[in-house]
Amino acid sequence: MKKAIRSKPKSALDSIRPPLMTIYGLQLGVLVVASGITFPIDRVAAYSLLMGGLISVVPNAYFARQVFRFSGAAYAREVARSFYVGESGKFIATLGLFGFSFALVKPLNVFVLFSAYLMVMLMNAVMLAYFSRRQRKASN
Amino acid sequence: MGLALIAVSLMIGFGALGTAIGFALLGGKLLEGSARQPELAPMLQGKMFLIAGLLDAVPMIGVGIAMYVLFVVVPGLPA
Repeated sequence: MKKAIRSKPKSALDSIRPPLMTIYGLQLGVLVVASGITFPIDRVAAYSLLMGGLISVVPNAYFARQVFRFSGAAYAREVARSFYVGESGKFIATLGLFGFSFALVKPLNVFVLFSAYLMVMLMNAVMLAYFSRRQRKASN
Repeated sequence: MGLALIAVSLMIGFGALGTAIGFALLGGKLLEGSARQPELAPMLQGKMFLIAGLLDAVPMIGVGIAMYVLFVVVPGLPA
């Protein structure tokens, strides 16, 4: 993994794109481990934690996929459009997943769900900033 | 119950509006920056992705609270 980040980028897109699979894979891994640790203590809290995290990870992954479909000044219009499409999809997916959780999953620990959602959102921002900085240093 | 539904629609509506304004500004600046300095376009795209993640964090929390009010608080209220 370390070698892949430090190696020379293959295309212009590789030089700007953070390692999205690593970032979202790590987030999912942390979620599953945290949920697994919580499961023997409190079953409801465990699946609430997993769901709260997934509500953040799934729309973010969709948004990232949309954003990096195009790259370069020649495709600036397509890049902006894919940003709008990605953001709309993310908004609708978040709305739907929250709605699904609250309407259909009972019992649910709302506090744990929101805490997991906030934690994963924070983790996403920190990891993106960290990997982007690391990638920039490696490419210089 | 009616007030709760108005609150939900305001939370979702203003959340979407705030995100839309933020993304419109970001997208406009990206197009402008790419037109001025095409060699910086990939870097601007990466930076825009980072900022976009921060931009919609608060509206998304608002959406979550709105869904909580809609599906948990409203059904418990008297009609």
